[in-house]
Amino acid sequence: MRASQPPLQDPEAFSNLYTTTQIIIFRFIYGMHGGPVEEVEDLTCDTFMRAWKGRERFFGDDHEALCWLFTIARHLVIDAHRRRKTHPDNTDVLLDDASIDAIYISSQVTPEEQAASREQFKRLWQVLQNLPDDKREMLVLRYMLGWKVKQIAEYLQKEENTVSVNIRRCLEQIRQGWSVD
Amino acid sequence: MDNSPNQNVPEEFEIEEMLSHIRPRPTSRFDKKMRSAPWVMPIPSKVSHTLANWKPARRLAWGLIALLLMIALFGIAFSPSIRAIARQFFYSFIPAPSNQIEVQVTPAGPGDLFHFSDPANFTLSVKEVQQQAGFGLKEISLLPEGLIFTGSRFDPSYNAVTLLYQGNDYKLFLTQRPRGNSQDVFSIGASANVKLVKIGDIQGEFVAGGWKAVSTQPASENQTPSSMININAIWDSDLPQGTLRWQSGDIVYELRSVGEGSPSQSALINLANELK
Repeated sequence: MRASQPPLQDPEAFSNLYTTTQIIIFRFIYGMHGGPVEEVEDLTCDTFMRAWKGRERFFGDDHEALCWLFTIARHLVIDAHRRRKTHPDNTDVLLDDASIDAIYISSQVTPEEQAASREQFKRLWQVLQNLPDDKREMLVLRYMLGWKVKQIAEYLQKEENTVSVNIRRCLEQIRQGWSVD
Repeated sequence: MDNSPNQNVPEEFEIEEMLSHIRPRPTSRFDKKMRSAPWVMPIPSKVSHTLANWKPARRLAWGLIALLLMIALFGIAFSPSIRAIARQFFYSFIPAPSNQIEVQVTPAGPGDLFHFSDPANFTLSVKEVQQQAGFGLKEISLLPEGLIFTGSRFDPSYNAVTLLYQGNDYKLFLTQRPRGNSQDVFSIGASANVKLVKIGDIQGEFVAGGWKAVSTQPASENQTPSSMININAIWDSDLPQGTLRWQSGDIVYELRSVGEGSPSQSALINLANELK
């Protein structure tokens, strides 16, 4: 049975949703989109603006609200990727050292180790961005957001075992794509 | 086929580890952009209209909750009676004389208080913040599902490091500071129920609830961005907030959850046991 009033209609309720989910949505979009950070920030902003405009049509609890935000974000990322394809000059995401250090926590200590770690990350990021959206989404949820397989399965409405197998296949696909130019 | 860029292909577990270390954070540009979002709430007080044209007004609204957390943390700075009691303790919760307190603050500074809970201000990695703090830090070694590390910050005035974790519907603040700071107390309402708990073999304390702002008023008629503001706050044991404090070696630890989905007392203790 639906609540009589949409739970996010009240600005305070929406503000609470924003406060508790903004970093999660930002990271989700970053993983799905690939950067640069300004574009990810704009997409995050657009996600919440769309949700704000559509809040009267949303009925659900906090977890459903998060999933609803993911759906909006995913559509916006797909649109952004389409625009990129229309403008191929913008296809490459630049990853300078500063950008990498801003998003990747490396445990390496010496400058040489850090440089090697950055190169590895660059390669990982390239391969990750070449994965199909649905596969990338699973990896983003599992590793960048720290979700358990069970949570991902519930969110994607798939069997836990299916998700687990798919994640392993994605990792293998990354390994295979690692050395391919 | 020539696989020319053939770098050493990492193992699956190495890829998993790399993916787990991707922790992007929005820049201050994003924070500025979102300050004008339509859901940002005005200050719920009679001075809100007067303050509406202030640039810091929105920051003030955002930061009131954060400020009250800081009041709880550093109550001694505002209350002589608490200060007197605090001399007897190293790290205990200090009950205020009543369930109501009034504090005066300046909105324009110390500015960082108003942004204490804003994730955009937790910009440092653990390694970076450790370099600034100069003492050994612990972090939650095993994060429960849905909880992610956002970032950390160092407050030199209190020689304290705070790590921020974000859950689905709550935030978790892990604060660490060397013992011996005279302002190292946490004020609570007179009716607050402090429970003695065990964190491993160490005695600690847990309290549920927190200070809630009930009104704000300018301290004087002539308001400028640097004018003082009086904030009246009451202690509310039903606030979705829990704080755990304990001491290990020379470091005082505080683990505080804020938000509707805050972990229970036992879950918070479990997290404390995971600090490494």
